[in-house]
Formats: sequence, structure tokens, C-alpha cells
Amino acid sequence: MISKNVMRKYTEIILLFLVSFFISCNTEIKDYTEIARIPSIFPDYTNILIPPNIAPLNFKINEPGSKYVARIYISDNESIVVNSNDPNIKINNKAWHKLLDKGKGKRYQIEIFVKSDKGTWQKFKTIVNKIADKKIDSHLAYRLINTGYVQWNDLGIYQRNLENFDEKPILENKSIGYGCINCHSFANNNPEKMMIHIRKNHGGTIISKDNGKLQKVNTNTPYTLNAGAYPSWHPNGKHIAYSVNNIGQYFCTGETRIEVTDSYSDLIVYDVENNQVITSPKVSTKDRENLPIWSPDGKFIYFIKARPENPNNKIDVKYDLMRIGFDVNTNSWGNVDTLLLSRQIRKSISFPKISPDGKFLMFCASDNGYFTIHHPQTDLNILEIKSGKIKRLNINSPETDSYHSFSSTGNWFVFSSKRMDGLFTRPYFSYLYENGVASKPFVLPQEDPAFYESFIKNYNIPELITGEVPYSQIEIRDKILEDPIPAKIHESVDTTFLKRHLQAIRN
Amino acid sequence: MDALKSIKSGNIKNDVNRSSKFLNLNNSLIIVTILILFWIVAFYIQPFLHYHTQQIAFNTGVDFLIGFLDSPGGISNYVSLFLSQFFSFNLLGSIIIVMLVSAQGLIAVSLADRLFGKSKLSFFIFSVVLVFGVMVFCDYRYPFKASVQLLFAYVFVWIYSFISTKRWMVNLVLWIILSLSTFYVANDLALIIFAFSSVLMVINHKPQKWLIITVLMLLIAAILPYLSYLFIFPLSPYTLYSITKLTPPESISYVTFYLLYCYYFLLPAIIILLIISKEYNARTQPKGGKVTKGFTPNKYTKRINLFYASQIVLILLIGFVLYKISKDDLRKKLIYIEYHAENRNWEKVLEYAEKTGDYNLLVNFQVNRAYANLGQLSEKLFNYPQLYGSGGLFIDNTDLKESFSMQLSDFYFDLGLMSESLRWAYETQTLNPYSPRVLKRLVSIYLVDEKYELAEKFLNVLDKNILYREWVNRYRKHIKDNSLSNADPVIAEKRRFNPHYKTVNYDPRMNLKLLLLANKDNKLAYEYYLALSILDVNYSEFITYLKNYTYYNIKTLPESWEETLCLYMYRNEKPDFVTSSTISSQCIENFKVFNSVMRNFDNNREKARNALQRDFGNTFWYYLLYIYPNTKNNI
Repeated sequence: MISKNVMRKYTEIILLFLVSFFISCNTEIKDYTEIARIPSIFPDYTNILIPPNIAPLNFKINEPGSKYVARIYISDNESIVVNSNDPNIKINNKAWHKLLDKGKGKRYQIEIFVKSDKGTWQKFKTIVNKIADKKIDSHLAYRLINTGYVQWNDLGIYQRNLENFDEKPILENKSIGYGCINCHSFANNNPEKMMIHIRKNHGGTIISKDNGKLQKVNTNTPYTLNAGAYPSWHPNGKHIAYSVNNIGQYFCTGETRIEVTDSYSDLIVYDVENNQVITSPKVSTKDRENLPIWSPDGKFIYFIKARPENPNNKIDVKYDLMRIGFDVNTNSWGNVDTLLLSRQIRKSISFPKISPDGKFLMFCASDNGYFTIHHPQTDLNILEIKSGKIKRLNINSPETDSYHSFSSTGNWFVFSSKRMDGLFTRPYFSYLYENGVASKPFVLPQEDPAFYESFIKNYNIPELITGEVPYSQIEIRDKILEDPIPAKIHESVDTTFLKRHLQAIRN
Repeated sequence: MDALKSIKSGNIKNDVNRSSKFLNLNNSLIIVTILILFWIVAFYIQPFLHYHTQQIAFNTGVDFLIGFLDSPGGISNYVSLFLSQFFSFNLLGSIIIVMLVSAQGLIAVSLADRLFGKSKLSFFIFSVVLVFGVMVFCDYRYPFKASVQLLFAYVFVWIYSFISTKRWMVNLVLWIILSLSTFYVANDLALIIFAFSSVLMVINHKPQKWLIITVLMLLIAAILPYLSYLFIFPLSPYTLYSITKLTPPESISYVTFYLLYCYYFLLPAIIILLIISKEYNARTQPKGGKVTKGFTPNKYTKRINLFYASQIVLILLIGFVLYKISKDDLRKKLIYIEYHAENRNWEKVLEYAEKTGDYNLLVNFQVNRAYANLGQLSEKLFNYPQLYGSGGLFIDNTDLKESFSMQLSDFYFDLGLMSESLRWAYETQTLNPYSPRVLKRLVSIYLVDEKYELAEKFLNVLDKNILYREWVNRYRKHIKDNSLSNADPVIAEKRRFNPHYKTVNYDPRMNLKLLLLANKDNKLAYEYYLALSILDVNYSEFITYLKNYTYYNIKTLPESWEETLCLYMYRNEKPDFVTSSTISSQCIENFKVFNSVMRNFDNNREKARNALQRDFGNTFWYYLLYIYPNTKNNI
């Protein structure tokens, strides 16, 4: 039994804590000098638009001082005050969400006071941000990888709850004997419709079927170049368009340290329910068809295409933007249309993605190739599909701004950027207005404001999803450990042509 | 206690004195064993070589700790990394190893005493654990975590010996709690050891329903890892019931050795031995416990001395056998070479290379680096047999590249090609993200590249390694004051040599050309280029670049160059830049002798081989005739 004295002592401590908390939360600093600029904070959470369901945007004040106070408010009555003896400002999750709920569509401001070493307080110009009406999908799926190019060790695909700081593994490769896992993809941002590739140990593709069960397949057939690589789910969740690639790597001196280029690539469509591969001479040419993406109505596959590889100059190649019709009911292909030539924008086009409303096509543009993540000059561009107008997004940085993914509503998008240090890829979020203008992006918030200063893994292929993946790691692992079911080629496919095609490119 | 009783029942009146004497003898022997094994660890095994080989990386960050908590054995792994980082200090590392293994030995002795009474085998039990525990360190890939896991198993067995009761249900529940703890803290094999040992203890005590308990215990221990694999931890099936987990690259991963299994199963083996001994004593002990006729104190002492002497002999024998089967002198020499190459003790590299005897590609690579850094590559190129041709200069194109990516990073850093140094550094960092060696390299490269933000990032990571704070503080100053990097001779030199324009690094030849194009003053690149041309027998490239030798203030041509030039001139016209003094008369004379030997054997290459090897084995001419044709096959 705890004695009364001890109980009293504990009560006193708790009361003292509560009183000090109350005082600290209501600290009013009256004597201060005003600094006519906003403070330097890391990450840069200034002048941004944020979703009303995002986790607290904790930050670090990069101003010298001995005490720090941040007042985050939407009005005099709705505010959070954070006192800190160090520059790290960590905001209470519950209070933050309460504030965001009340501030939907309004501005929220951050007043920052720093006590200088001389003991005087300084108040910086107020940071003004805005809270959007529209929510962002609650989770972000990504792969965390080291910077090596050939070897790998620990890596995994994770899901982060964007409304707080919870990060859970979807699959870590240590559970499957350190095989390489990559190219996770979801149908319509739905975490229940998922796909993951596994290379080397236990190679194959894990796909969730309509019945909610996982299956492991080998999408390689005797008539196709390789197993499916870069995926795109059909909106019906029953078909996946893939490119099949022969990928090579070249190491370089200069800003671009590595070039990834394909010697060949074609397109296929994989019928998930019937385990069949469908392709056509129209997308299995000597040219390099790559990175397919379905239109939101499911009637077209957009893709990029480049001329055959030049053995004397494998690197300097530019991709055009193309489109082909595909009817999933009859498995029949339409005609190929050229939508945008690389020479029109003097850039190579890569990673086309269409907004869910079908209005915009966002793509990466870089000097050469399609594997843009290593190209510092890569920028995000947007094509208004109806008018054909193209513009470079106003959110690009001098460093790589690459792989992007729309939220289920299309209001928000996430993209990979190396803007923070030029080396490590971080996910940034931005709001896409109806006129195709994007808001100033902000980096994925972390509990520790200094997290990015020493985190040395890359966030790879960020994909927004509407909830948590329902499959446990053990479920996925067990499926991976099974032998893959070989995919069959669809009866409508001209296998004689494909044999000749393969023979021609392999010779 | 039975054993103690039996000694007491011998009616030896002054047995207390004697036993204290024997205990003193016992303790003295244990202390001597510890000291001997400490000496072996410190001066033969040398923990700093473990540190170097495994690039042990501990990090004080919370994220680093959390990474160890999600799987069984993670805690042991974390503890082992914390302790083994101190292997970088040889004596401290030796103390840690000996203390840890001694702790296992003492627990084994304590268990034996608790279960069977004061045993005359204490010295043997302690020493055998110590000898096995130390000898596993002869393999420099041995993961220290295996020893830590075993220590946890010993500790849990020891705890069980205290808390086990006669009531079978309580006993079983306590055991299950301990087994779950063992499994989580120290993984499945530690659990098996815990289970075996505790089952033997139950058999020895024979409490209520001991048969049911033992069956249940064995069953639980056997299926617990499997059940956790099926339902709790998303572990790989390959890690089930194994002591060490194979992680990439497989070529330098530790492969469980039978010695390690013996070491792991020592405790159950000891308990079995003591049970048998107890049973034997119980059967042979005369009833009433009287001393046999003629058993005088002197005879007793003699018997005991003989008993200890035989234990010492046995331990020495076990130690000798273990030493013989676990020592690998060649590997140790290779590690020394690697260690000295990392620390740029080039003379030491050459010294150990000479001791290795047989050809080894890695030695070849490091010897070439050593000669190059000492400015002797061109002179002594053929002092070490270049059996892999230019593959001995550039191991990028050999099978070694994956396992020795850090060495490649060092090599390209020496040459001044930061892009390749960075590439290989990142390959290493992928395998060992917190390795201080690679983090230091990354900091250096980014300082050369004037990317201070990235240099700071890796300094922040390295700062979480308690052993490198001083290094971090030194280079953090460069971030605040960029002029310090210009004043640093290594960074300043690499800045001058590093090419900046974009080009693909297709092969070593192009890389070297690029370096020479970027800065002609890069003498190391120049020497490597000529060595590469010589080993690839590319005369045109050799002649094209050789004519610039005067730029490097070279007065007389080094041996490999003049031998190549001599042969070139023998077959082709004399290049413009060659004068009568370019090739030494000694070289021309040697070439004549070489040719005359060939003629003596009717220009039959095979017949002339032995004679030529003796006098010309370390010349370009011999390389061209006998080694070069096979180099492509070797790679």
C-alpha cells in the first residue's frame, strides 16, 4: 500500500506540474524587440497551405537564443503555445488537430519569440500559413532505401500515418532473406488493392485480388521481354499495365552520378483475375515504350516512348508522351497517338500521372532518359489534357523534383524532391488548384524537428493511400515465400510476332 | 550438495583446511587461465582486427536502438554492438571479451556448485568455457553477438536454478516466463541452450511430475521460435534456429562453424557430465561413507594434485586442438594488410604481403596501392606477380568488388576521382550504414566537393558514435569556416585533381584519362595509367603517355617502363622522345640476356620458363610471355 504521505507528495508534484504547464501555456512576453523578418526555421514551414488532417508540423528555430516560444494560432482564442529551452518546437498532436479542425479554410499564424543570450526577447515577423478545406489521404506508402546503386541490405516498404507520426512496415526485406523489394503500387489510392515486386530471393509479384487475398505471380512469359516492372493499376482494380524493361546502369562524373537507361522496353497489360498477359505489336516495337499509366476512365494507357538504343550513345535519349486505347472488356488495343514530343519542350518526358478528374497530366521533364531521380535538372510539369497547354510547375527547385502521386481526390499530390540537400529524396506535399497552380510544398512532418538533419535513407516512390494496408507483414511474407504462379499469355496475342520481336531485339 | 556430502563423509578431520587449499589452488588456476587467455586475446587474436574487419558501428540515437527491439535477439545484438565498438582499443577489447567469457565460465561453475555441490571440476568447467569462448574469436568475421546471446542464456539458466521449486505448475510457469525472456533477448538458439540446460536440471532434481515438465519444456522450446515466426515476428525462415544470421554481402558474412555449436552446447554438456559423475559416485561410494583403507591425507593430496594436473593437461590439449583448427594465418595476414592499407601504413602492407606467400588478388591490389603511394609502382610493378593483369590494379571488374567496396572507395579517393570514390562509399554504406570508416569517407568527399551541407549531415550521423566525437569536432570546424578545407593538404589536393564535368565512368582507362585531363599534375593517376597500359600490353597508349614523363620530373625511367619501351623499340621504330640515355644500359643488357636465354632453348617458351623465371620473373618480358596470356582467364 502506498502511504498517505507518498500520495500527498505525488499529488503535490502533479499539481505543481499542472500549474507550471498552465503558466507556461499562457506566457505573455511583453518586453521584446521586433525583428522585421520571419525567423529561419527548419524544415521550411512558411507561407504554405496544409491539409486539415496533417500531423503537427514540428520545426526547429535556426536562430541563436537560450529560450524559445512559439505561439501557433488561428485567433486569440484558438492558440497553442510551445515553450522550449532548445530550438526544437514540438506541438501536441491533440491540440494541433483541434486547432486545424477549427481553422479549416483559414489562416494559421506562428509567432516566434527568442530569448537572446543577453536575456532580451526578440519577436520575429509572424509566419502566415493556411489550412485547406480538403483533406489529404491519411497514409503515405514509400520505400526506405540507402543510397547504394548495386548492392542492398536492409530495406523495406513502409506506411506512415500522415495524421500523426506512426510509421509501420508493410514489408521489410529481412523477413524474406534480404531480397530486393520495389515498385509498390495501389489501385485508386486504395490500400486494399496493392502490388509489390520482389527481385532475387523469392522473386515475383505480389498482387491483391478482388477477393481480398494476395497472390504471387510471375508476369514473365516466353513471349515477353521480362517480368512486368513499372506498374499502373486500371481504375477497375482488375488489370495492371506494366512496362517490361531491360535496365542498365552507368556511373558518371559530375552532378548526375548515375544514369539508368533501358536497352529495350515494351508494354503489357496483366489481367489480375485471369492471370493473363496481353500485349500487342503496337506496344512491342523496336522503340522503347515505358512507364504506362491508365487514364481515370480506364480507356487509355498513356506512356512514354523513345527511339531504339544507340550503342554509341546510350545516355542521350529523350522520351515522347504517347497514348493508346485499350478496352479491358475485349482486351483489344486502339491506336497509338503522340501527345507531346520531347523536341517540343526540349526535354525528355517521364513518369506521366493523370489527376483523378482527368484534367491534368503531371510529368517529369529532364535533359535525358526517364530515370529522373538522379537528374538534378528534373522538374515537374503539368499538361492540361483538354487544351494541351503545358507549364512548368511553380514549385520546382534547383535540385531533383521527381516521382509524384495524386491523392484520391486529386487535390493534393506528393512528390520526391532532393531540394533539402541535393542528395536524399524526401516526400513533399502540395495542393493543386483548379487552374493547375500548385501551392508551396512542405516536407513530410516528423516528430523530431531535426530528423532530416541526420536521416540517411531515401524515401522512394511515395504513394498516397486512403488508409492502412490491411495485410500484415507476416501475411505478405508467407505469400512471398510461395512459388509464383506463372502468368499465361492471352489467346488473342500474336505470339509469332512476339517471338520474332524478341529474337530481333536480342540479336 | 551430494558431492560435498560425500567429501565430508570421508571423515577427514582437517578437510576444511585442505578444501580451502584446494579452493585456493582452484582459484589460482582460474586466475592463471584468465591471464593466459587474456594474453592470447590481446596479443594473438587482437580485437582491433575484429573491429577493423567488421567495421563495428554503434550509434547512440534512439532510432538506432528502436531498430533492434522489433525482433528476437535484438537486445543482445544492441548490447554486443555497444561493447564491441571498444574493440577498437585492443586492450579494452581484450578485457571485454575475457570478462564476458569469464562471466559465462563463472556462471557455469556456480551452476555446477548449486546443482551438484562444490566440485573438483570447477577449474575444468571454467576453463573449458573460457577456451571455447575465446577461440571462436580466431575467426575475424565472428559476430560478438553470438557470445552475448549465449551469456544471456547462461544468466537465465542461472536465474532458473534459483527460482525453480518442487511445485511443478509453478516451476513450469516460471520456466515459461524465463524462456520467453531468453527468446526475446537472445534469440532461438539461446532458448534451446536455456531449455536443454534447465531440462537437465529438472532431471537432476526430479521434482513432481518431472517427466511431464521436461517433455513440455522441450516441446515449448522447440516450437516457440516457430510459432513466433508464424504469428508474431515477420522473420525470415532462414534465420530460424540459427546462431548467426547471414546478411549481405554473403562473401564476408560469418558462416556458423561447428566450433560455435560446440561452444553453445557446452553448458548442457557440462551438466550431463556432472549428472553422470554424480551417478557414478553414488554407485561407487562405499555405504556409510567410510574412507577406504590406507587413504591417508598425503595420498589424498597426491590424488587431488594428480586430478588437477590431469585437468590442466586436458585443458591444454583442448586449447591446442581448438587453436589448430580455428587459426587461419593467411586470413589474419590479409586482415593486417587491409588494416595497414586503411591506415596508409604502406611499408607495413608490403611487409605483410611478403609474409602471405601464395598469390592473392586482394594482396596484389593493396601491394600495387602501397607501391603507388610510396612512389615505387613503376619501379616495382612486377615485384608482386600480376597474375590478374590490370585486374590487380583495378578490382572493379573482379568478383572482389562487392566485398571490398570500401577499399575501392579508398583507392579512388587516393586517385582524386570523387565520383567513383563516392559510388563505392555508398555501396559500402548500403551494407553498413553507420560504419565510421565510410561515414568519414563521405564527409571527406563532400568537403572536397564543397558540399558542406552534406558533409555536415554525415558528421551529424558520425557524432552519434561516441568514439568519433573528436574527429567530428575537428571537421565540423570546416563547415563553419570553409577556408579550413583549403588549408587541409589532402582536401586541397583532391579538389585540384577531381574532374567536374559530366562524363560516364565506363572503365578504368577512361577514368584515368579523365583525371589526367582534369589535372596533369596528378602523378599517381599518371603512374597508374602507364601501369595499366603495361599490364594490358597496350603499347600505343603506353608510348603516347610515356613521352610526358619529363613533366613529372622523372630523370631515369623506372624498370617496368624501360623494359616495356625496350621491347617496343625492339619490335617497332624508336619513338621521337627517346634518346640514347632514355633506357639504361643495364636494361638493354638484361634484354639481351633474356633473348639469349630464349635462344638457348630454341625459342621454346615452355622449356625456357624455369630459367627465365629465376632471373627475369619480375620483368615485363616474363609477364608478357607467361602471365599476360592467362590474365584474361584469371579474371
